[in-house]
This record gives sequence, C-alpha cells and structure tokens, in this order.
Amino acid sequence: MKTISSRQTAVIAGILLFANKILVLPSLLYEHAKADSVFILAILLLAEFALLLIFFRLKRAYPKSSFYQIISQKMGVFAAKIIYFLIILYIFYKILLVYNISYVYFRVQVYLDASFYIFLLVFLLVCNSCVMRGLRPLARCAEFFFFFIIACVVFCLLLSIANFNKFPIFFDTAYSDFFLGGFKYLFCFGDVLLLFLLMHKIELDKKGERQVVRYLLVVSALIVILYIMFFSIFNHTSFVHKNALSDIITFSYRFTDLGRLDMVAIVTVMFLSLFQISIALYVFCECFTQIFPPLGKVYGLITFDLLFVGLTLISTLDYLQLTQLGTLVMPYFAIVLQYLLPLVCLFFTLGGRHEKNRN
Amino acid sequence: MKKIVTSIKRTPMLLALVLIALWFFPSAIIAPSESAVNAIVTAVGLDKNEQDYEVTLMTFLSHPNQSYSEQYEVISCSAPSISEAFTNASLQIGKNISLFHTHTAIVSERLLEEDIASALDYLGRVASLPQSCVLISTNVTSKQFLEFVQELDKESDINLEELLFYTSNYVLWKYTTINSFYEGYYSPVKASILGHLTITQGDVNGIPIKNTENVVGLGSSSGGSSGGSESSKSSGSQQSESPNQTNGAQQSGGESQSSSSSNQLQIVNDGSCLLIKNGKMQAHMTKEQLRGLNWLNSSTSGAVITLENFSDQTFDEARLIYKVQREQVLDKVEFENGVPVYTANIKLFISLMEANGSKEELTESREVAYISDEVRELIEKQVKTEINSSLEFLSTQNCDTLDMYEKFYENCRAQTKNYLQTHSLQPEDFLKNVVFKVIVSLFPV
Amino acid sequence: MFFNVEKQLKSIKKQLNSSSDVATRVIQTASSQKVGMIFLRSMINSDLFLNGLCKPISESDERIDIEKLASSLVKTGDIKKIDEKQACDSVINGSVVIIIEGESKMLAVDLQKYPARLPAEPPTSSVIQGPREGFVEDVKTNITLLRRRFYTKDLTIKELRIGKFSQTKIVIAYIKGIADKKVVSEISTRLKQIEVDGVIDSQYIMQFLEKRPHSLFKQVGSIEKPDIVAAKMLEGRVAIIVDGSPIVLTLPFLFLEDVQSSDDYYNSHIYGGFIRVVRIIAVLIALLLPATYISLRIFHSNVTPIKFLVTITNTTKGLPFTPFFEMIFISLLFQILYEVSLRLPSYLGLATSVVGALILGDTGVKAGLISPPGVIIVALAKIALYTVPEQAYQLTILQYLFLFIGGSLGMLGIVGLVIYLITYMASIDSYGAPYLAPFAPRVEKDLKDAILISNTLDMKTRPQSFKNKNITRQK
Repeated sequence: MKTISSRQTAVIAGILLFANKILVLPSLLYEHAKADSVFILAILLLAEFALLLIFFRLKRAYPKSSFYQIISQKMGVFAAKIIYFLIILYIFYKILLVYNISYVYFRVQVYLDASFYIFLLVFLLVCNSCVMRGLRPLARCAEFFFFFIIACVVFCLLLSIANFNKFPIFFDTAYSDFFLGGFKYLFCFGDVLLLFLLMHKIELDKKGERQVVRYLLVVSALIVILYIMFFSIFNHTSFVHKNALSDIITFSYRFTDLGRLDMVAIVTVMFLSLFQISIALYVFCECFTQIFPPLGKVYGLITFDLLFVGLTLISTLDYLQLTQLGTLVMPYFAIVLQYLLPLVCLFFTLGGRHEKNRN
Repeated sequence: MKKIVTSIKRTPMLLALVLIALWFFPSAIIAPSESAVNAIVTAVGLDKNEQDYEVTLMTFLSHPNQSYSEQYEVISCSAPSISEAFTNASLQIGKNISLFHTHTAIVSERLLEEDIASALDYLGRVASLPQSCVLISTNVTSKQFLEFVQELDKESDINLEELLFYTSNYVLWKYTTINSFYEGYYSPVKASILGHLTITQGDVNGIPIKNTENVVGLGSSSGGSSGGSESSKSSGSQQSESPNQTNGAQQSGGESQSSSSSNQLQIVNDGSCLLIKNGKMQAHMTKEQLRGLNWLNSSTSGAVITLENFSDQTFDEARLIYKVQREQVLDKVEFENGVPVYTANIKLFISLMEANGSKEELTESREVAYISDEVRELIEKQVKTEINSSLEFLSTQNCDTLDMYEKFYENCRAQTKNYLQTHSLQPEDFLKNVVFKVIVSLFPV
Repeated sequence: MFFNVEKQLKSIKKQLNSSSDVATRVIQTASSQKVGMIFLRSMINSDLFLNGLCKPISESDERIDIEKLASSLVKTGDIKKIDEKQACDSVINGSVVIIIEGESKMLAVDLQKYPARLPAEPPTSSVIQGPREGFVEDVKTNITLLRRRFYTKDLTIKELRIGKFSQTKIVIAYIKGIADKKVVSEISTRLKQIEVDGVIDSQYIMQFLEKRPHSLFKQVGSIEKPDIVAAKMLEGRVAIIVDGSPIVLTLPFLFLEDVQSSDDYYNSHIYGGFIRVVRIIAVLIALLLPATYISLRIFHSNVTPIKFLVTITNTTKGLPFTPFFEMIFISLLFQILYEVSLRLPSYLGLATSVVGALILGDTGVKAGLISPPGVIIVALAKIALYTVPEQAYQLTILQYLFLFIGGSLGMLGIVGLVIYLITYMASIDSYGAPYLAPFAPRVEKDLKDAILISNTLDMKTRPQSFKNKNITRQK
C-alpha cells in the first residue's frame, strides 16, 4: 500500500485546519461572542490537538489497521458501517460548505459575471482527478504548495498590520452566548477526524508525530493571529465582513499602483479550498469503499458527483443558509463523530489488547 | 469509436479538455474584455433632493491611444431609490456599473441630514463598493463637487485622490472611510468623524479652477440649468436643480454667477470635518477644534505652534514658530472617588522652525532646540487650551469620537457599568462626565 | 571445409543483396595463394585498406594462414576470427572480411571509417565558463569523451544493438560503485525489450524508457555535453549513448534537472542560485503570464490595478478581435515566426525575425489589429520559455493549455490546472525517483542543490531523491 510520510501527514492536517475558518467564521462567531470568538477558536483548536494526541495513541496501538477495521473489530461490522455512513454524510456536508463559501467568495471578489458552471466544473474536475491519482500524489502536491500557502497567509497578516486599529474588548460576552457560539459552529472544526480515517495510509514515528504537532501549531498560531487582527481592524463592524482573509488587506485606504493586493488572499483560498475538498473527497471515497466493499473508489466518486451536482443545481442554498441549516443538526454530528468517537477509540487503546501488543 | 473510448480511458483529462473546449471555449472566444462592458467608476456621489436620490458617477471612459491617460466623465442619474438610480445610470451609458475601483464616495450635507447608513449599506452589499473607499462630505451637491473635481483634474496636476490622501495622513490623522463611518455607527457611542471638502469662492486658500462653466449650478457663466457638459446633459431633470438646494453653496453658487474672473471657485481643504451621530450630521468641526483633538492622538506629528509677540531674554516681541517633530501620549483611565478621570501625559518633541525679532544673541536664537521656560509655559498653555476647547465642543455635541467610553469600559469595566447605572446614563453620554487631566511636557529635538 | 575464395565472395555478396557499394577483391600472393576480401566501399578507410591490408598480403612470400595474417596486420583496427555466418554482419559494420584459400575461418578486420564531426560546443548548452566540448554522432568518440573524465575501472560500459534493420549500437554507461544495480538492470531490461525497425536518434528510444510514454512531461534526461553527463553519473545516474546521436540520455530523471544548468556550478554558488531563481521565475512567466493576462481581461478586471486597467482599456479600444482571440492570434504569429526562423537558412532566418518582430508587430499595433500590451505579454512569455531550452517544447504546449484555460475559466481554472499538473507530476516515478523530488516529497538533503545552490564544500552527500549507492560524495 502506498503510504504518505509524516511530513505529508502534517501538511494535510495543516491544510485541513484552515478549512472553513479563514473566511466567514470570524464574522459568524462575532455575532455570538464578539471578540471573545478568539477564545472559542483557541479552545476548539486545543481540542484539535487533543484529538491529534488520541490519533497518535491509536496509530501506535494499531499501526497497520485501518480505522474501519478497529471499530468493526471492537463494535461490530454493523455499527462500523453506520458510523461510516454518518461520517460520509458529515464529510459531504463539510465539502458542500467549503465549496459554497469559496464559491460566494470568488463570485464577490473576482468573478463578477462568470457562469456558475465554471466553479462547478473546476472543483469537480480538479478534485476528482486528484482523488483518482491517489493519496500519495495528492499529499505530495499539497506538500509542494504548503509553504507557498503559509507564505501567502503570513503575507496577508503582515499587510494587515498596517490596518491595525485597536485591540478589541475581550471578556465581554455572556457565558451562554460564548458557549452557544462555540457549540453552533463546532462543525467548522474537528478536521483531524479525517486523519483517523486515513490512518492506515500514514507512516508515523515519534519524530513524525512531533512534526505533525509542529505544523499544526504554526497553522493554529496563524489562524489565531488572523482572528485577533480581524477583530482589531474591524471591531464593531466585524459582523459585516464575511471574507476575513481578504478584508483585512483591503480594509486599508491606501493609494497604491499595485492594485488590490487581496489577489494574494484569493489565490491562497483557491489553493486551500481545492486541496481541502480533494482531501475530504478522498476520505469520502475511502469510507464509501469500506461501506460497500465490492464497489471501488470510482463508484464513490460517481456517487459524490451525482449527489453534489444534483444538490448544487437543485437547491438554492447559499453558504449562509447552509451554515444556518448546519447549526441546527451538525453540532450533534460534530460531537458524536469528532469528539465522542475518538474518545471511545482512546478507550480501546487502554485495555492493552491491541494490535501492537499482540504482535 | 473504440479508439476514442480507449484514449479517454487512458487519459480521462482528455474528456475534461474536450468538455471545456465544447462548453467554454466558444464563449471565451467571443467574450469581450470585462472593462469594455463595465463602466469603471472611481468616485461616486450621493445626493438627495425633495423626493429622489441622485447618484453621480465619475467614470473612466476609454479613448483609443497608445499611452497612459485617464479621461473621466461625470454621469448622474436620479430615482426614488439608490438601486434604481444605479440601474438608470447603467441604462444611460449602456454598461454595468463596476464600483470595485471606486476610491472616493462623496455625500452632500443635505443627504447627511438623514441617516446615510442604509444608502451606503446598499452600495457596499449590492454594488460592491469597497469598504476602504474614502467617505467625505461636501457643502455643495456631490454632483457639483465631482464636476468641479473633473475640471480640476483637467486643468492641473492635482487630483482628488492625492488631496484626500494628504488630508487623511497629515490633517485628520485618520482615514475617514466607509468602514470607519460604520465603525462609529455601530459603536456604543454611535459617533464618527467624516472628512469635509468645501467648494467656495472669495478670499480663501483653495485651489481654483478657471473653467467653471461645466459645473452645474456653480458655473460662473452658465447658471443653474444650462450646464454645458455632455454628461450633464444626460442627467436629465437633475440639471434644473437650483444651487439654492445646497447649504454651503447657496451663497457661493449664487455669487459665482456674477463673479469676476478673479473671484474664481475654489476647492478648499481647510482641515475641517463633520461630526456624525447616528449616521447623521451633528456639527461642523473646525480645523482648530480638530487640532485640539489631535493633541491626544499619539500618531500625529508635524503640527505647528505659533507664539506671537513673544519676549524673553533672547527674543523681543518675536514671532516663534515651532514644529512638533514627534508626539507621545501616555494616557491613563481611572475612577477617582467614583468619577471617571482621563489623564493624558503629552510629550511633544519640538524644534524651532522660524523666528524673527531676536535680540543680539544670534547664536542662541538660531538654535533649533531653543526652549526657554517662557516658551515652555506658553506652549503648554496653548495646547491645553486647544484640547479643552475641543473637548468642550465634543461634549456639547455629545459625540464621543475619542472612544472615551470604550477606553474606560476596557480598563475599568465594572466601575464604568456601575457609573452608567447609578447615573442612568447611556454610553454616548459618558464623555460629558469624564474629567480630563492634561500634562504637557516639551522636549527639544 | 576449406573455402573456395571466389565462390565464397559471391555467396556473401549475394547475401548482401549485391548492393552496389559492396566491393570484392582477390589478391594472389607471391606463393600463388588466393586471398579474397569483401567490404563496403563506403564504410572503410581506403588508405588503411591499401597500405595496411592489401600491401602486406600481396607482398607476403610465404603461404598465409589465418593466425599469421592476424598477427602481421599491425596498422588496422580490431581483428576477429569469424565464421561464415558472421561474415555479413561484419561487412555491414565496416569491417573487411578476409577469406583465405585453404582456411576454414574468416578474418574480420575493422577498418570502419565514416564522416564524423569533431566535438564542438552544442548550441543549446553553451556556457560562459566551463568545458565547451559536446557529444558528437560517433559513439566511440562519445565514449572517449566520457572515459577521459573517469580514469577508473568502475566506469562500466555495456553495449547493446537495437533495431531490426538499423542494429544501432546502444551503450549503457555507469559508475559501478555509485549507480544502483536495480536501476541499471531495469534500464538494460527495458532496452533489450525494444523491438523496432531502427533507432535513428536517441530520442527514438526515449519513450521506450519512460514509465509514462503518453505523458507530456519529459522523463528522460537528454544532454549534449560530456561534463554534465559525467556529473550526473557521479550522482548515480545511468547514461545511455546511442550511435548516431549527439544526445546522451540519463536516468533516473527529475523535473528539476532541466532547470539546472552546468553554468550554475562553474560560477559562484551565490550567483548560480540567483540565476536559477531567475530561471524559475522565467518559467513561471512563460507559463502563467499570458493566461493570467487573459483571465484578468475577461474575468477579473476588478482586481486589475487601475493604472494598468486604464492602459489596457485605452490601447485595446477599437481592436477588431476579442481579447482571447487576440492572444491566440499573437501567440500563433510568434510561433509561426519562430518556426520559420528555425527552418530557413540562417541569413534568411534573421531577416524573417526582423520582419516578424519589427514589421508585423509594429504595423499590427499601428493598424489597430493587435494591442501593445498583448504583444509585450506574448513576446515576454515566449522569450522566457527559452531560459530552459530542454523543456521549451513541453512548456510551449503547456503555455497554450494555460492560455486556453485562463481564457475559458479564469484564475480558478489556472489554479486548478496548476494543482492538476503538479498532482500528475507527483505521481510520476522515474526508476524509483519521485519526479518532483526534492520538493514533493521533500528531500531535505537535496534542497542544497534545488533552488539555491550550496557551496561545493557543503555538498558532502549524493542526492537522496533517487536510488544510488555510497551516499558520501566527499569528506
């Protein structure tokens, strides 16, 4: 089996960590928790690290097994299939959300009169081809662009320093609003779950684990800085600005012949969204093949494409409606799949009767 | 057929390419340049007369040439709502209106009599006006203002962008953008500052334009309804608008019709601004009042302090001009005996720029770092007076543009809340109750 | 069975289809012994034939036997004893086959000679400082050029013949202690499996050696200079020399190789790194500039800087073509001019370039057919292609592909295509070497000679991006 290296794992985890967090989320969280959204973010990012530690433990305990094998062995095949079905639904929603947020963003920022089909075609073609090539080429490609992406994000943050206004007022939210905000948007976090689903394709040693943690720390720091800068620049108007990474650059009133420097942010989001969807789609297909073993990756892709195209064409959901819809159901999905399931897996590793010990 | 299927199987991307070629290539081949179907608007003006909104657009129109040259046309349209006015403007010029390159939005004082937040909100949401767009007000209608600016652009090398940039950087020490307007609007004190440019005539320090014929309602020879420009003609009913509809321009516009060539219309950037409360104009703020506020802003520099009839051991009845090279403000907010006290420790790093009337000690009088005790005393007094005057003005207008409430709320949250509760005050009334303590220290550079 | 000289010569000539350049000669020695010779007139060195072969035979007083003759021929090339079956092949390869009356074996004397040029600096790999020798079409000379750089027994040369009709000599060269055995044997196996009519140039076998022969991307290194091949062999690569081709193939191949130039190593490493960065920027300009320009014009005028937009709008006002059509038109115009200047004799080619650049471009702009920004963008992109001449053909195709996608789908399409291509390239494996190494996967140690170049003193290990033995290069 073609596996990916620890560095590639770290890159994939880093790219996934950006998902759904750098455009709309700051504004949506602000509506609930004002500047304290930074603390919601920090807490939920810490939770990602906790999940990561569970993942490491599980990987050490079951170095060769897939996640499906572990849960089907411990919980039974039927339960495993149901869990995987739920995961498929959850991943599908996340892909839909990333796509819709990016679509609206590009539409507003760069594509004024472009056909809707352009977006659909590009996303489907690129992501399908990436999945068809396999995880290793996809991970290598992500590795190729990772430093470029990080450099672009850092560039955006550096530019935004010029627009720094004043630090926002922290600790000014009621506990209920704070927790409600965090709970509602749980589904924008927990992307480390995808690593669990790819665990049989990951090569990881102690050094590699440290590398993953290091990469995630860098990405987390960048996201936290982005939020702080965003609230510091926009303060009371934070809820209006739905494209955080772009808006922190274009906010400034600067006369420059360089034009709009948010092109950097736009290209970064293009890369990030295409990678995020490709990785999530790969996991989707992996889960699909686990539920329906006789059917291969291609069938998973066809199923996804049909569902995705169908839903995108039929429904008139934009990302805000999608998010609102998500806030009703998805937090429960998130709690069960993102947090409870890994905790249960942690319990599996405690007994001592795991693969490593047997070997 | 078999061959085609085999080749597609071998390279599935071939299918994708064929798909793109069939689907998008034909449309791409015939697609015109986006700049040909969109009107690039660099400045937008909003006005209101009795019933209708009037939208004025400074639009870039291309002229075939091999060199870089910007030629702009002013187009205006009116309708009961701003969106309809934009639609009319699109119809009129046969292009979509693109506000992505808009750097300035102008609102007339008349429009500021009502809440402009909703009007700007439309522009931001629907027409994609950048939030970083500079927002300024003017005493005439924004249409007249833009026509004036267009003439100014033709006649001289001075353009609106550079003028506003300088004003923001060295006069207001603050960017007055759409976002800064909203920030004040959504803040607890609901107050913000708006840049202000005046068009007037008479003995003022402004930039004059020779040809005012094309400026509707302000033209020295054309009068109100006979505006001469092609674009103005297209604006239909709005051309009949009387100059009397404007506030500040009433006299200037009227007088201009009979003015001599020496009494030209001028654009005046005197550093004044408008205080905005709840999205409406609250008051004019003069340059001096603004200067008083800027003493509390540590990012300002370059202010000039003049001491008239100054006498000490070196100078006699002299006129001394000092320039503030750098300013440092250390502020402290606290409650003293239940009263909010704001202490600003202002450190001014100054140098003597100009002096006349020195006694014989030429060496000392030429010293840029000359600060005698008398100088120190006078400057301190002058700065404090200016600050107090400005603060008094802000208190009277109930406009907390200094964000005093937020400063206290951030640092002494419980006490501030308690203070508001016990005195039954709203956050916007907080400024009135703050006691200001100003300490000025001077350092020679 | 002893030979009858005349009969035997006739028989061999018949086997060679009595071609007009097949010559036979029978010499009667002083002892009345007949010695027959058959050879290709066009393939042998006639001076050597007369003086080194005919003369000693005809002047021989004693009876000649095969052993004696072989030892007496001192001026000629290789001498081999052959049987009747091998006679034809020997003649074809430029040997003179000697049939001695009363002998049962024949003698093949190598007198091969054909027109060959001297090693000269190849036009595509010229250097400012450094060796100027280039490979030539003669395989022997090429081997000599390599041997001169390795006075070691470890330099291993293996010979193969490929081509049903051409029977081209293919030489595999590698350094025994460095090149990976598996890679060498895999290359040999692949070469042996080739069944073609003929190999005219090394490019003919290139696709047989590629893991993905249908790919647009070049997967085999093609080099015209012995110093570069020697350096690559020292890294553990295998060289394949094809007779009749001045281009030597090297394997495994990484994408980065063509961005590297021998000049980078012959100058200061700081300057070398700088130039390499410039080259990478040039490649990016060549690929992405026209596509970005067209996407900005068709889709993204809102992010175009206003001053630039004003210039473009003014200069394109009134053009008869749409932006996309204009770009394709200019690109094709440039391509035609390039092709014409390449094919025409140099004096005419120069004139065509001048006509193309000055007359067509300038008049086109003045006539309002094409815009100055369009001409500049295409010209810059086309020139930038040739900073990496080895990849110029692929980059040209990719340039059109990007232009096509940029015009049809805009910036998102360009980014999508970039991701697609990189994923595709990341999936290519060249004899155990990831094509995009040392970037994807990241091979930390090899980054010292990737974009920037480290000092030679720091290059202590051989590249880890592909398989090789003996990691240490210097101590």
